[in-house]
Amino acid sequence: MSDIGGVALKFASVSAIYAVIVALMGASLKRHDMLRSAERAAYAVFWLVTVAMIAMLYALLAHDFRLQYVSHVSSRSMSTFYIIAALWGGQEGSMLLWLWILVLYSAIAVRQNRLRNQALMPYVVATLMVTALLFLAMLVLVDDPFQLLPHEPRDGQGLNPLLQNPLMVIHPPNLYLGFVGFSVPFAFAIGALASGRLDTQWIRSIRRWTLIAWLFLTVGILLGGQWAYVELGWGGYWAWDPVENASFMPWLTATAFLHSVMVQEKKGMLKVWNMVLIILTYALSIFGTFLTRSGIIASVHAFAQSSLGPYFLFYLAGVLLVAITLLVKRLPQLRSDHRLESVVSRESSFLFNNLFLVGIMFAVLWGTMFPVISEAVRGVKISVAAPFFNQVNVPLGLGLLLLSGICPLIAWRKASLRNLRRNFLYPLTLSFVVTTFLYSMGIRHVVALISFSICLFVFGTIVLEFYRGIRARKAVSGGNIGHALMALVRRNRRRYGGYIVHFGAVLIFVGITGSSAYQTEKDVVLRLGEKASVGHFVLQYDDFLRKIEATHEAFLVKLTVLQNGAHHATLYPEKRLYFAQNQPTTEVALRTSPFEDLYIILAGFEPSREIALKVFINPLVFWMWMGGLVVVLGTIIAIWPERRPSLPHSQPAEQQGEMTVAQGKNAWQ
Amino acid sequence: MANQYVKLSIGVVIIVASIGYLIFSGATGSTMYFLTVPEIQQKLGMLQGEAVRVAGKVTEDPIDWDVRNLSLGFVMGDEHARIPVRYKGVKPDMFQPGVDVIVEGRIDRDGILTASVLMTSCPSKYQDEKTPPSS
Repeated sequence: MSDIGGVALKFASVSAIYAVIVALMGASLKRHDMLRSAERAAYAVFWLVTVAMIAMLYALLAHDFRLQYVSHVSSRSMSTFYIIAALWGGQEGSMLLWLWILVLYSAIAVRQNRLRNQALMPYVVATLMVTALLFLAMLVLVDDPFQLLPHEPRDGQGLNPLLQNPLMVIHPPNLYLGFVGFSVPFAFAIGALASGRLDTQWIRSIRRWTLIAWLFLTVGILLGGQWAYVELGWGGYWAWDPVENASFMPWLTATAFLHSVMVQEKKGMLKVWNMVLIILTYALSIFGTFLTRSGIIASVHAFAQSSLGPYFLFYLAGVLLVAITLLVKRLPQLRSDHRLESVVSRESSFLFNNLFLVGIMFAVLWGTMFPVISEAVRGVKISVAAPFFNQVNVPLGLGLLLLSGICPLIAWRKASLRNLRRNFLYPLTLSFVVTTFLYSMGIRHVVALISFSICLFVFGTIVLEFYRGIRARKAVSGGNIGHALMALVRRNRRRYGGYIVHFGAVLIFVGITGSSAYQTEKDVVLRLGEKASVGHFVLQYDDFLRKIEATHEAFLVKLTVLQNGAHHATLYPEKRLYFAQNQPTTEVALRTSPFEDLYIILAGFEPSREIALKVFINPLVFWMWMGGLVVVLGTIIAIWPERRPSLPHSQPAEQQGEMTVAQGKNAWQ
Repeated sequence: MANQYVKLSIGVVIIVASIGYLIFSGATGSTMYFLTVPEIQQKLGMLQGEAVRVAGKVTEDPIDWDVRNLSLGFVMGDEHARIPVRYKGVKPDMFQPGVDVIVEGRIDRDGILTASVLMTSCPSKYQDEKTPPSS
């Protein structure tokens, strides 16, 4: 079975090479049959990689420990759930998953556009298959996932217990779905540049692709943060580690693109800028994969140092060279259709929003690469720590948040004073009043006050927009508020979905502000029966328990938590020792509420049953995860296909570029 | 018209300049030398009191884990170069002899690295060839 997997990957490589060559030849010879052949080859790549995936999955489930990969990441005692997850628990397997998602996306994109975008498609297929080849080359030539061991061990080493967490099971696929998803918009951008079809058609074709990739990446990043929070036990969710940064950078440029593309659709401006953002997003996705796998920057997450680095760098250089050459060649065709009429307008506020996002991206890139840069320039490796990232990104992030309140409401072209007053008077008043109240309640942390005041302002603008929209709907069609709200959102999903995403972002900012400005941290040492107070909680050490489970031995501490003298909760912080890996893990005891999280780690214990605890009180973290859910909800609303009467769309293939709105909307149905 | 572009350019320049300022002022404020253990030993004299970030392996030397004070003492390096480390905080789960760690802190007069940050490699790196020791 495992032989089949390796062979399938080799055939997939040949197929992908064929697809690239035939697609490009078809484009230059204007031969439609060659494009068809290239598309069939792209489907073949998908099926072949699927065979390799099934072979790997089968090997894992059948405990085929002859395979080096299987014996590394799985063991007999693991549940089926985690055995499946072990597919992406190691280097080779996760690259296989990356590749599979890419070829799946490619097949969907080809299928979707079999009648549309025919001038672009040869380049789209070629670009996607070149990306696939990068990973195929690494899997076939460097890191063979089907590598056999000289003799079969009786049992595997098993997946690291820290990874045996449901969050960690869904986090990597989400990140990959996001990362890889940006390959499709990039392929269309290259297609548009190479074919010269630079109207808004291609932008419309990728709108949903971009949003979906963005959604997965957002969810992936949030899940990673939550996993770190509940599993790693250092009390936080984000450490500006190079690997976290690697996922954050393409997210920033993709977010910038999602916004500025609206200016191109509505006004025909910022065309070159949008191309740059798509190219950057793709390049940063590849660069992120490189960062995590090459070991160039010492990261706590990094995979073992491997020989993959040069492959990525050569590829990245090649991609940038081709993309920039194409872009420069097409510059004359990418002129703006309109000119800017006023600085106080939505156009320019979008531009500023983009500057902030790209600025944050650049700061993160600079900080991440600083050791490499300083070594090249000054000969010493100098690294910057989390304070750098916070110092730079907190002001930029707050500026961005402020713009998310201003952007959607300021008028296109030129905002009048009346427009400004109408939209911003109430939100500003709300912000001022509540912030004053917070100040009088004793909140004196300056950055927190600024952050809360901006959050309130943005919240105010969103509520105002919904209020006005609902009032207008009710005036037109009557009905109650609920119906009016539904009708409102349904009529303009992108707009109101966007507002909901912004509201989610506000909640995330509230969570970040509360937990970073007002975190309490305390080390506590207790003997059995003793009490200690942390913040307004009192912890009482009641019992010490020891349990033997199938895979691990557990040491639990029973803590009674009192708040204002009343019983609040009973918590069991825990240490485990996993037998298979001889690996201790710390299970955080977490009591979450909308106000604050009580977060307790059992740092250690003595034979005398004396225990050391590390206790954190993290205010408002709850709202960060809620905000994440709201962002997901808003994005799904924006992505959801709109219901339209079905128009006949049987245009011949040659008429691409004339796609009707209905067809575009149907793309995802 | 042209006037608006001038205004816009001024806005853009202000934003870009302030981002640039934030990056450079931030970068000078929170830097530390990123070194390996042999590099530390070579330059021990000049590094006293400096903020350093050190990557290396935990040696097989005995580990002193004082639960009551949350204080962890160990030695980083290999048979050629070594540096003693004293870390205040919780012992990470992955911490054991032989693992790669990154520590951040300062080197004091006795040549001991007093660390405020101790990070062990993320479990996704779990690709060791040898089977873990069973003790």
